[in-house]
Amino acid sequence: MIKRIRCLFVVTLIALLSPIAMADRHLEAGGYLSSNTVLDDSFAFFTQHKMVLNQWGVDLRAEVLDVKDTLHLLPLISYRYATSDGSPYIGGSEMGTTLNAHEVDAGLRGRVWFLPWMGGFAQLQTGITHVQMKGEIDNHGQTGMYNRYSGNTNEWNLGATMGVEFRISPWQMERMGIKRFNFGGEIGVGFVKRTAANFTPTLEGGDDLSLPSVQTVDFGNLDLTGVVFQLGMTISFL
Amino acid sequence: MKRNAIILFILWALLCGCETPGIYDNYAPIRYTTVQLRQGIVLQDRNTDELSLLQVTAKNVAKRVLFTPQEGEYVDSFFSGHDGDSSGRLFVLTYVGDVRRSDVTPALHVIDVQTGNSATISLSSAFSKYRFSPDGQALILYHDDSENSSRSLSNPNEIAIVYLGSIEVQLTQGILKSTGTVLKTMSVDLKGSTIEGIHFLDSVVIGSNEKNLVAFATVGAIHLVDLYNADAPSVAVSLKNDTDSRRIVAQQFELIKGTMTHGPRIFVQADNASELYDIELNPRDNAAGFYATTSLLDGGTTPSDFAVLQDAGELFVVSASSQSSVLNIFEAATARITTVNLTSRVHTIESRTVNGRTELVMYGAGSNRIYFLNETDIGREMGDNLETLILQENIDGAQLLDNDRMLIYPGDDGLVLVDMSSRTVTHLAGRSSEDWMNNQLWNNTLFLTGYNRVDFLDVRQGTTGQVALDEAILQFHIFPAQRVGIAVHDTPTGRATMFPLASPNRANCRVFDGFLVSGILNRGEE
Repeated sequence: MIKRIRCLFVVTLIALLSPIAMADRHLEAGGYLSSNTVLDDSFAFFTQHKMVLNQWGVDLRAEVLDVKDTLHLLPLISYRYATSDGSPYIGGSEMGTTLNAHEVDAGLRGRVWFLPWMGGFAQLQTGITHVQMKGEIDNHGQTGMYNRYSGNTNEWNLGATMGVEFRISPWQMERMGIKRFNFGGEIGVGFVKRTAANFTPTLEGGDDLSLPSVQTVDFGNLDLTGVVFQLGMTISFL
Repeated sequence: MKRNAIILFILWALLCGCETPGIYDNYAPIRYTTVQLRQGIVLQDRNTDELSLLQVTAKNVAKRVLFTPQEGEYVDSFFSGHDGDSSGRLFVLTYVGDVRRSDVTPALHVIDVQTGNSATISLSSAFSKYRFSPDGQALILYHDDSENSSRSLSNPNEIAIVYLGSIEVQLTQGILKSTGTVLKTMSVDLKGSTIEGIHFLDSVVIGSNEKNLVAFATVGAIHLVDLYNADAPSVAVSLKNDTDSRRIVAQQFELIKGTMTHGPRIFVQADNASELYDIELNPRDNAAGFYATTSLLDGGTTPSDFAVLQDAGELFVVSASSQSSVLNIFEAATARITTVNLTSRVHTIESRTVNGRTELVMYGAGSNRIYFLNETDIGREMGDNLETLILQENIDGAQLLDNDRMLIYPGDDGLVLVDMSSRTVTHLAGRSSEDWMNNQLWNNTLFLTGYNRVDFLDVRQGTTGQVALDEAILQFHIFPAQRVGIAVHDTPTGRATMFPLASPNRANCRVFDGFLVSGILNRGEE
């Protein structure tokens, strides 16, 4: 039995690897706008109206492998930045809140070109999200009053995205005499799971004479997991 | 073209995302109430009616939930027990929000703060008024004219007596076990009136039966009920004729127990009545009941306060009126009056004990005189032994500190201490903008709240000081059991500054922040 499994494994590997070509190696750089629809209602604490965390970022990809000249594999690294402001009511007054998220991921994209100018992709990535949260209340001119809360956490994330890519047809580029350069775009949807971020901030403000608080307050946990809709532009070169 | 427009619209919608659920929009604040218990201050959530306790210990301030109304139930009022700020019990009256519900009834909830145990007593109607007996063993619930009639019909004759001793085990041990009657609902024939006030009288022996009388004051009458024998008929005592249009409402009661020379009686002073009422309590022939006979003591002026003195077995009633500068002394047995002329008007009569005898201390607003009248030989002296203490300032208000000392709040601000045993006067604080009348007293130290500071004054030594804080004070509370003072600030996140009462200074202050927002981000999980 084991022998049979071993034989099957070797045959599959040969079948997969044999058509792999080191064809068309190139780098790609992309710029992105990703809209995360956050599922945790508590995100309303850091947003004015919409439960959306808009990320701006860049990806760097390298096509290193393709399978049967059809499936193209591109490992990638990405960076996303998001900021969101809110004004929740607490105790009858508004608190000005800010959330900044820096996300650095590594992943793998698989791509298939159905047409010379259009294809589909699926991508898996994981990384770390650094979340900074701030809150400020009005001190009404009382300079001795501590009125700013700030804290940050690092959370893991795991995401998957799939969508459609577009590019200028390579034949067209060749006719224009442009080699090893292309330009395109993409639309994708996906899901990102992030571990909950806990906000236990330090209290700041006041002046040199202010009495510090003897206890820190735990605001609780915020889960930034959400559905992603992504728009991007890609430049491929080299 | 149309296809492109549709695609663009879908893309825009996806980018825009969804509206927030608004869980932090228009969030009604948690209200710091003035209901103080031994363990802390009661907070109320205006959205949910949930009641929490801002629990104060010697080293910590934290918030915990005390009472959550069930669905369909709304909080009408809540209050501490009979001992006020020292009480460890919270009482909550609830009513039915949606009258279509049959599973929810008006109720009284009693919560023991220490143990968290509670007892719920279903009521026959939504009472809005209450009075505790002085010993805390009974709570009377009743209706008055000010009730919200849109909630339900209510019978003004209806009262409920809650015997708190019967639920003691449930509250302290959490065991559902009542040791006797918990609730007695009854109807007192108020002759078409509503209850204006309730007055608990001491226990008294009438004939051979001991009774714990409660007086229900209505317009023109009082109704006497035996608190622990509520099935016995009430006794109505009229204070005026049917043709008398005055709005006479009994305000002050003094019960005198029977002696060898006189039977038990109640002296009553009423609003809009120029007479004092001398109500004798007489046993009925059937032994269990009693009846009342009334005499009038009329000095010609409307009394504002009175006191009863005893000398050689005889009763003497001393009454003062804010309308005239006289003191009337009545011999109760004969209604004979002796009028003592004063230099100024008197509206308040206090009493103290000197060598086992009663001494009256009398003063009036706007006057600079305090009068003293000792019970000893009152029958012989009839006011000739009246003593007068003259102050430099006019009296705006006064507060008895103990048997021998009284604080005077002069009309032009400041603070004066009167030693009543030595008849001496000490100026504790000069003229200032401080309104010392709104002080809180702890162990001979007065605490007064300012904008962002707490001033204090040691009455014994006359020394003053202040504790300056970093932000405005919303409320200030003293917790004698924990020996700390708490200044609650109006900070939305919840903030309080604590200092020891024995050494109030800024260096000893401790700030507790965030007790109103702890876990606020977990709201999305609820």
